[in-house]
Amino acid sequence: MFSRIGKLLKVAVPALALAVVGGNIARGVEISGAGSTFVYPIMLKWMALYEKSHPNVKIDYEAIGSGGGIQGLINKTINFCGSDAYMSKSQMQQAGGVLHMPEVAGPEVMSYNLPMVHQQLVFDGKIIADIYLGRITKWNDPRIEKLNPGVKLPNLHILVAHRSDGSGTTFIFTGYLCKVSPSWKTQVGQATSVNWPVGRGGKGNPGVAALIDKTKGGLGYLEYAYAIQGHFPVAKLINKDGDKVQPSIASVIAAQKAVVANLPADLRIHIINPSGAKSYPISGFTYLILAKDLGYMSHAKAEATVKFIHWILTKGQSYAKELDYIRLGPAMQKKVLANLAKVRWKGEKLSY
Amino acid sequence: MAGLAISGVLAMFGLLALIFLVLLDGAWMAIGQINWHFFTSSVWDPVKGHDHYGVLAFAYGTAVTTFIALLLAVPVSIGTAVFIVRIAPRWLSGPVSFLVELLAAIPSVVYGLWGAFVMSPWLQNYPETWLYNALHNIHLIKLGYYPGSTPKYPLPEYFPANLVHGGPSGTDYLAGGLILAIMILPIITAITRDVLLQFPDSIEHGAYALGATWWQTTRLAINYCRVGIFGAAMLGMARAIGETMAIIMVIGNTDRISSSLFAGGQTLTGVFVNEFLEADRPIYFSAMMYVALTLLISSLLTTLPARFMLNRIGARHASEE
Repeated sequence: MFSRIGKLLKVAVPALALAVVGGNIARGVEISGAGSTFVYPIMLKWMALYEKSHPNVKIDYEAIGSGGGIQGLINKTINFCGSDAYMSKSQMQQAGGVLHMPEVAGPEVMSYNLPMVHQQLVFDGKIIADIYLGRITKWNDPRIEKLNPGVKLPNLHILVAHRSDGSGTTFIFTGYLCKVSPSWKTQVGQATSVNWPVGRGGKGNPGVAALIDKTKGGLGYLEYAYAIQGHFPVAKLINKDGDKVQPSIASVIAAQKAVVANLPADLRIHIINPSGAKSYPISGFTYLILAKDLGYMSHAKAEATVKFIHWILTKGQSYAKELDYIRLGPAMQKKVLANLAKVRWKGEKLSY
Repeated sequence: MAGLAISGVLAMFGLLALIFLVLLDGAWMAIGQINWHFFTSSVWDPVKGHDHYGVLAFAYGTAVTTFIALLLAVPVSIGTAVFIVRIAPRWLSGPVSFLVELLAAIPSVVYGLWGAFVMSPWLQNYPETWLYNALHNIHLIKLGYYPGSTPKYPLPEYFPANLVHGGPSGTDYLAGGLILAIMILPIITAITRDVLLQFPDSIEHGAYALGATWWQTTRLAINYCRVGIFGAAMLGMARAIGETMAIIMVIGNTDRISSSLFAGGQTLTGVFVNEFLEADRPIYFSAMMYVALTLLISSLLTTLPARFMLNRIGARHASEE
């Protein structure tokens, strides 16, 4: 009995080993990334297109959440990380030097459920903050009415919806509220999860959308792509210059343009409340993050990773629109490519 | 064979001990810094610099939803089990048993989606609306909150008021309790059915011989099996405490305590699954581990007595669950 199993193993093990090695040869280089779920739909598209035109490269991306991606980068278990939040100083130290490459922008929109109102509503930051602080509780509050002349607003309770899961979307949204409302900054603050003064939490965009959709008087923040694809009503926002701005590709590219002038060298920035007449006030970048020196992986992997990322930042940008992401503006793209050029492999420059 | 069995048991205990130790190690920092305030505070504020972690509101949410679930599920389960064992003809009892057990096979995330998109709007529009109309003028304690006043942060705004304060919402403790009730029905029913089958024929015949009616005999059977039924309810309770995906879809995910059934809440498992992935600072992560440790201990405390009781009466199928 045992000798037969032994014989079987003697044959099977080398065969298996051969299969694994052979598989590797056939597939060429395999690179892996992990992190942001926000970027997952377009990442799938990019991966499929890139693998088609580069049959020797196999890419794997696990959408485990930005925090998980950053942890993977720190532990050096992945080749690249996708994250909606940029890394903190201490995280960057732990990872031993990293480079942030914004890849696409994602605005956040205020969506609401008022079937009796047919005009598009307008909000400003202070009003949104006060609604989320529980200081404005009714739709026909004089401050909302003042911003929306001619709109007949109902005497209805505002059902405030927010994300219940820790998320980069919440990080950007609470960052915006901190910027426009000192009370929000001192009482609540900015984080991926906060202690919400009022409202209900839904898990992910679908959870928030379900909360808004279900109840007349619902209000919540959604990612642009999700709101557009689901045909949810979205509000115009008053920006820093006092203009009413529709969330759109043009207004977010305008916002990028506004921040490019005083961009930090490491590109760690959210596009929150920028100046400029046409700038949409709440959006963030989602980032590709690489270690500054890719020496912890093989040269072939490092080169394949950098090539793939270069492709995303150039050719890949044209696929953003069909999936309702917002591409990098030309000025921003130049800065990002300059950052990518700083990547090294054991001190060597990589070609791409 | 005996050796295999013993090493299996040892491996199980070892695994449990290992899980316990890993959680304890992870939670150590939070235990040191937060201490017992973890259980007495209802403020959960993971913002960097605030770092205030209290699970009272989540524990309250777990307790309330579990209580509602048991209140709804236990009578229905006993009724179903009595039907299967003592009323239904043989050709019907098999299919009914099967259907109830089928409920247990539905993944909890499916319950969650159904809960969010079907049950919750229905609950809001019908039962909660009726309850609200019936109960909104009845106040439990006339203190603190009065309708019409503006909630002021950070006061616990809706406590104490009445059972339906805030109006029908569909995402609240009641919705959480209802979905849990549906989910724990199969386990309670199946075990109750099995313990009712243990009711000795001799006692039943004796009861009839003394002139007891069918209903009196059934009550006798339920009374005879009460320890087993209690054990079944305890196992249902353990399942309710541990349930996650379904409940976060309908409970509203807010960390406030409220006496209103229509207020949003959160459970211990809910906060874990919502925030664990982004808990990227040491103290935040450690607090999450503390939550996990709390869950492990509380589920042990509910499961062990149930097992003990079921073993004592020797219910045949107890070990299947």
